[in-house]
Amino acid sequence: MKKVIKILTQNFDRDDSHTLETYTKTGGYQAVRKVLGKIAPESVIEEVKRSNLRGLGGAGFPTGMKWSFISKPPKKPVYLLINGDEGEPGTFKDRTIMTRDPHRLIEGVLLASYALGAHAAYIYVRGEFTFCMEALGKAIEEAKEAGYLGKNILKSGFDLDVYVHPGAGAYICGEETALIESLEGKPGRPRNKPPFPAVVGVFGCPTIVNNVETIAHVPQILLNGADWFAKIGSDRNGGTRLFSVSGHVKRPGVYELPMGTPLREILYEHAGGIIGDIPLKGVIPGGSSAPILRPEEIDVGMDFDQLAKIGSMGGSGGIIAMAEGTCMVWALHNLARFYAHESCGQCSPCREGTGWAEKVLRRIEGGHGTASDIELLEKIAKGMSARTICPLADACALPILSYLQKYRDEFEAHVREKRCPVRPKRAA
Amino acid sequence: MASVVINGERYDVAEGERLIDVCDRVGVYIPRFCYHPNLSVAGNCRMCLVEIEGMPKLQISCNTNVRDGMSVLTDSQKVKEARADVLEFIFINHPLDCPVCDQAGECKLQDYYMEVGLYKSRMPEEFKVKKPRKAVRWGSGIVFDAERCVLCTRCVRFMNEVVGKRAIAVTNRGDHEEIALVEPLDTLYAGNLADICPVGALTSEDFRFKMRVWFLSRTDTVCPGCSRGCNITAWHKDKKIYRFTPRQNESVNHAWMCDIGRYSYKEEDSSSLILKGWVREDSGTKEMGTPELLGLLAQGLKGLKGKAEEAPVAVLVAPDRTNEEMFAICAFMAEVFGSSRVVLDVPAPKGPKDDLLLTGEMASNSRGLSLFASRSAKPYTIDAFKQDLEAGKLEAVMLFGDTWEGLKAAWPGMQEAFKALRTLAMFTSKRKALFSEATFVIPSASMIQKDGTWVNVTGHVQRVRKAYRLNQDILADNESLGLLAEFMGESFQVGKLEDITRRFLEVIAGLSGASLADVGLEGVSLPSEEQAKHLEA
Repeated sequence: MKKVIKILTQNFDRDDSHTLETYTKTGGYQAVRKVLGKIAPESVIEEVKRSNLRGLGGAGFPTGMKWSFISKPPKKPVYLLINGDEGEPGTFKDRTIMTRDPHRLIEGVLLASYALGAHAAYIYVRGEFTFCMEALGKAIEEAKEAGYLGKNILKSGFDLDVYVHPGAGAYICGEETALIESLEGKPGRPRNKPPFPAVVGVFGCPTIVNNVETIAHVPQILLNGADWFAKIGSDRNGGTRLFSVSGHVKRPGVYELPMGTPLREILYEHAGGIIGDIPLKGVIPGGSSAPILRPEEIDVGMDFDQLAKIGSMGGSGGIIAMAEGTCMVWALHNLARFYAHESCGQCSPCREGTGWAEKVLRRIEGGHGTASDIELLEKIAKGMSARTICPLADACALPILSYLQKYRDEFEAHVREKRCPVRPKRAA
Repeated sequence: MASVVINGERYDVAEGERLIDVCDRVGVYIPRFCYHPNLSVAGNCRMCLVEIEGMPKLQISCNTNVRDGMSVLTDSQKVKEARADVLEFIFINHPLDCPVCDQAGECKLQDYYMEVGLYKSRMPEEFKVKKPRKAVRWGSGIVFDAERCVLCTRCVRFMNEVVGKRAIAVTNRGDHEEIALVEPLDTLYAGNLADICPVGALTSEDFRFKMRVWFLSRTDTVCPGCSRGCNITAWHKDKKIYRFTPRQNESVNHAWMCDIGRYSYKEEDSSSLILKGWVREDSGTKEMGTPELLGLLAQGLKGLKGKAEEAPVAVLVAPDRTNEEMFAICAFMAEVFGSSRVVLDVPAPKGPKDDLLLTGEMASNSRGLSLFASRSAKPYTIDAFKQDLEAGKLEAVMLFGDTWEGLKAAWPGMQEAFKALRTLAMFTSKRKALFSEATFVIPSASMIQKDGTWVNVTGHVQRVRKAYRLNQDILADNESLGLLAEFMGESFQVGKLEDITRRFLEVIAGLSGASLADVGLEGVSLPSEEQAKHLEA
């Protein structure tokens, strides 16, 4: 096993890791003292660019590049929104940062706001995460009292207010423009682009939306330098990321590992292998929207580019392992049901397609499918790909296509035998 | 300027214009449900996807602004497949109830199915999402059917953006999404909802199930309701009008019209119109054909000619006559009687007024009359007419038009005063406009039965078009005056309609050589007063 590098989780094993005292004792808010008023915002953005920090919410877009989309000088107030909506099935990493080390996030917010010239930042937290909002609320109060937030922070002349905003539990509000709509008090429905949020975002002002984990990385990048961070990860994928490992593994949990760590190492060394040491059947590498991988594909390095190269995606870093004995039709139906439920209903292909796919899968799983249903499912998935405002339809279509491609025999067996061949007891 | 290539053809257009608008203008049709040129872009139906060179994904043409050098394909295989797929998605939860749906014949779903669909249904009926709200009366003449809705949100945006009232909203998510009424519509513009709905989800309570649209003929004309003069299409069959719908005209009414104008088609029904004229005799009224009536009237008028210094004859023109009729009336009086006793300032009735379309002036051509009157050095006003009437200087009065409510309101003793006249001839089309004092009633052509022009409140000259004539006894006023002059033995000739229009435009706007054809479908704007002065100077 490689030497363990902990950036985000370095304080997680302390009981009082969420307090300001612990955070400052372990080097917290040093980056702020180093940067605020001393390094030009443009240089901060440049440093983040060089660090190869990628958007860890799922898209993997280079963070520094995103920040540079705000035109200088801005004609309107700039807003920073932190996406803590964490709704991707199989992902449970941001909540750990928000509860166990909220000050790391706040310091990141402060540094990012300084770089962007934002004086108000919103942390949009998934509605169910009341405990995260509580922890963040307390931390913000502590930071305000200590002079890290509010007016004239550390006498640098920079002002920043941070607000926590509760979502209402809709998956789609994790999409940045739906999040913006929701924050404005409207139903969470993604916006057409252009204009992009960096031009017209929340309240009609330039806006940057970043994931919690991405922003929590910023203090250490600025403290230790971009080169240090870039060196930890793989090519063009800087630093570490939090992998949420779940499914049929012996030790499910959140693991902080360098970008590019092989999936096999994560599953078999860190997560302890498959329960009962039975063979692996398939694994989702980056949250439910990522195309599934077969056991022979798990030597891939877990970063955005290597996963894209083999036709899957890094996504949110949610790894779901499925052992032999899992019915892939059932697993896919489970996902399709989720997407049909969470489609906002705006675009015709997604509104109708996700629901239709769910119905066809329900038919096949229940032993009522026909041979043409498999083709139909493929057609539905292709029909809704790349034709909608936001990627939710693609997030449903990509798994469908990958399951159909990699486990087609299982779908055919369901149709042929008119029952589930994998879990016979559940068959209709 | 930007140069774009659409399907291999090069076009020069304004930079930043919407691609879908450019395509509409140059005649490249792109299917759409949610896009409407007078509403904000929603981009949700995904029917208008096109292929743009250099972009990996298909783009929606309604949210794409044209850039110089852009190359667009609207008919590639990729685009065709996308349209067929999107259409199939829209169809899967849509009921197959065209035979009982009133939208059939003007339904975008039907049209596009014939164009790009033509597949067999792969969605068994029992699996469709059930939306039980059917034929819900929303009030203000609108009926809602949830099952047929394709969630384009045109109605939601119309209410928010045009009417300024958040009465319709989208509820639920995914394929259970529905539109819902969240407060009463309660607007005079509700009828537009049925027009903009691309499918049969919102239909007009007034029109539904009366007639299949493919049986109807269309005549493009102008709404007679108020002085806005919204451009409309009259839908008719067998000399009966079934509805008015608005026609897009950016200089007048965009794509809208109010419900007062919309339902005013009922006044054009033969039951409301005068089909045959009559004369009042001692024994009572006697119906007769228009030529005979005009002959009788001519005899009476002939005797008045030269009776006094100025013949004891006066004419009132209601603010609903066409410019051509008014022009002919003035010419008739001048040439036959040498008289300028033509009242052109009959007030229009007051009505509702708002910031959108309604002007509060409930007559179609007040502006045309006043413009023409202002060219005269000494216009004969309604007050001068009153004085002449009271002084007993008048023996015969001719009334042209239907819109007298405004005059009645301003002059309560009017009908009483008319009793003193020997001859009161009414050239009127509507029964409700008749005065009991009338001694002659000559059926005049209503707006749908004649050609001509009106000038709207902003000085826009627009064409009224004839759809049909109910019978031979009904004549436009310029036609009946020609006959009347002939029966009086006068050499006066009204001339052809085109000539009158040309002369009228020359007189009021200095638009020499302008003809009916120039007025066209969209109308022409008269020069403003400053421009007119400039022209004269």
